[in-house]
Amino acid sequence: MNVVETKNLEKIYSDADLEVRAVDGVSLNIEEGEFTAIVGPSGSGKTTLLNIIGGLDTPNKGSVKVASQELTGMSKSDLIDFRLQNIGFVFQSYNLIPVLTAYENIEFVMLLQNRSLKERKQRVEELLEAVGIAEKSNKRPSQLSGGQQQRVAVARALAPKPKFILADEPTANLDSKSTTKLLDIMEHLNLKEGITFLFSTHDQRVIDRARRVVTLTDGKITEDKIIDA
Amino acid sequence: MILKIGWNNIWRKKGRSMIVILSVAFGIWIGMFFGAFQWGTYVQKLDDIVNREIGHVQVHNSNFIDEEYDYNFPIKNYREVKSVLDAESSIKVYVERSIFSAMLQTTRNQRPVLVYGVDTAMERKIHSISSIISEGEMVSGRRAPTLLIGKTLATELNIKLGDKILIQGGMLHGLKSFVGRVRGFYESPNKLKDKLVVYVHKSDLDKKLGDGFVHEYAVLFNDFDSLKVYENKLQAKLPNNQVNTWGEIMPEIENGIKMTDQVMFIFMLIIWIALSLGIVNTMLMSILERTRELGMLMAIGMSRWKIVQMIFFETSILTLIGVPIGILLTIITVSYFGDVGIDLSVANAALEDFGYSTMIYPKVKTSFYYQVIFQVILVSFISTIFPVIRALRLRPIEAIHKT
Repeated sequence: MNVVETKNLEKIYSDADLEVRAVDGVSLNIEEGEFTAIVGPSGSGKTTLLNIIGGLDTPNKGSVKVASQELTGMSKSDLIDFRLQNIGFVFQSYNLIPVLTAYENIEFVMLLQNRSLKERKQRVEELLEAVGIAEKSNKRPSQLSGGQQQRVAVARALAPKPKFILADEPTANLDSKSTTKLLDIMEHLNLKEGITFLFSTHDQRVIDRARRVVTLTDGKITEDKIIDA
Repeated sequence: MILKIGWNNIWRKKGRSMIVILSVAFGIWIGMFFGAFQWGTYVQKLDDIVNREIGHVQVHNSNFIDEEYDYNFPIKNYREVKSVLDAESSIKVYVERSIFSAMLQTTRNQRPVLVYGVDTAMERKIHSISSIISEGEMVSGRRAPTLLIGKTLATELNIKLGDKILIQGGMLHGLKSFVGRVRGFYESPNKLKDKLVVYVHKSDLDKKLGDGFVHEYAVLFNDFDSLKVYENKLQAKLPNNQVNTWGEIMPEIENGIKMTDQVMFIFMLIIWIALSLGIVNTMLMSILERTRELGMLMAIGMSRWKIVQMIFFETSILTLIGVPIGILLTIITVSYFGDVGIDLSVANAALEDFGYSTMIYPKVKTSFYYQVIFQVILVSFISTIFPVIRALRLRPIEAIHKT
């Protein structure tokens, strides 16, 4: 079953005399349980494509369906709610809430979903274990390393039980050890729990772990490769 | 959790939050203290001039005021007036006076004055004349009626205790004159009055002029706020007399109070604008600094309404901390200066010439506290709208990538 379906997506940024086709006719399906990397050089349109799939940006043309729902044409407030219920985000620079602890950062999204205290507690503890930072649950982001913060971000993205996780350059700010650890966790969650991951990256370490690599060049898919296990 | 985020956000930049809190506190304090000062002046003015002299409402002969307080226009139906006043339950107290404009003449000088023929015992119901006597006494029954004049007038006309003075009233409609002897000086908080009013015992006056005229009833009601109603009621019962409120008798006092109200309004407006700019500035800074965070919150699914709540909560907390500090400062300073008073004589002796007391005792009406608290909350609320709009205009995709 497809979690993401895009058809002829186009995103054009135009200036007075310059037109940039950031995404140029992209049709892409992501199935449930995939561990897909979207790769390409800087400016190839990876982040733009992810933003459109994540409902953070709108295409000029084409359609994008996530969990069988068409995102183009949705109102801003519907999109906010849709993202809350369906998509987990992991950002390059972690973007945790600095005034909350690791535990609270993870719990926060579930609070937005109005989940019960019991459910929240159980889920947060489970995720803290899964990403290996249970002992740091009371620490604020400033007291955590970059790798630990990104793991909290992954746990936060997973907390609302989204249809899939969108990760924009998740390892860009991490050292080698932290990258390996993070990838181990994500790979584990993907393989054991069937969570769908869609990355944009140009980090070879991430590409090496991906089981599908979609290459974008100048906004077009130039290669779509399934990697055999 | 949103409240917790809001609360912690406030303390991210302690210095900045403290500036807002202190601005709120200072705004409240300065506003309320100024208000207390104004109210104190107002109350004092009412007490000095209205409650203790003019009364809330006065009853005269219909032509008395138009004829410039001429002696020959007494209240002819004073018995009827008295019985109406006696029967009126809303009246707290009233006094009866023979009052008229006159020319005071010494051997060297003359000056227009207002003669108050009073029954000191009756007058004591609203005002103890003996309490303002600074020199001499006010005895009755002497051959030459005792005159009590203001110390300021005495100084200006070089009048000494024991001097004989000619008082000539009823200048336009039949001269009435008598010679009195100055046996006392008084000093009231109203220097204008000190230059104008000459007290004499009504009984002495009646003996000298032989008419037993009553020119004025000064009435105090139980409820100061319904004077217009009472005035109309009394006027209906006394159609042949003229009934006026203190504001009509001395419009300059009422206008002065209205003017100070307007000054107060402008002053408060300036305070609230300054406070508002402070809050807008602080909250905008706070939002600009958190652009990426707000973008992330929107991206992960925090609704606009919850973002609005969070920002309003932050402003509310800053305000709610500032409000009690401001009120506490007000209570302390108003209590202190309410006891010792603020002496303005050095700064502005001219106040006295306008009938203002130079010693002001600030007072706060309880309703003023509520009024100012409401205004501060309203200002905070309005000031938060612009930062909130700025926050809601953020596009998550741009905000997240903001460095």
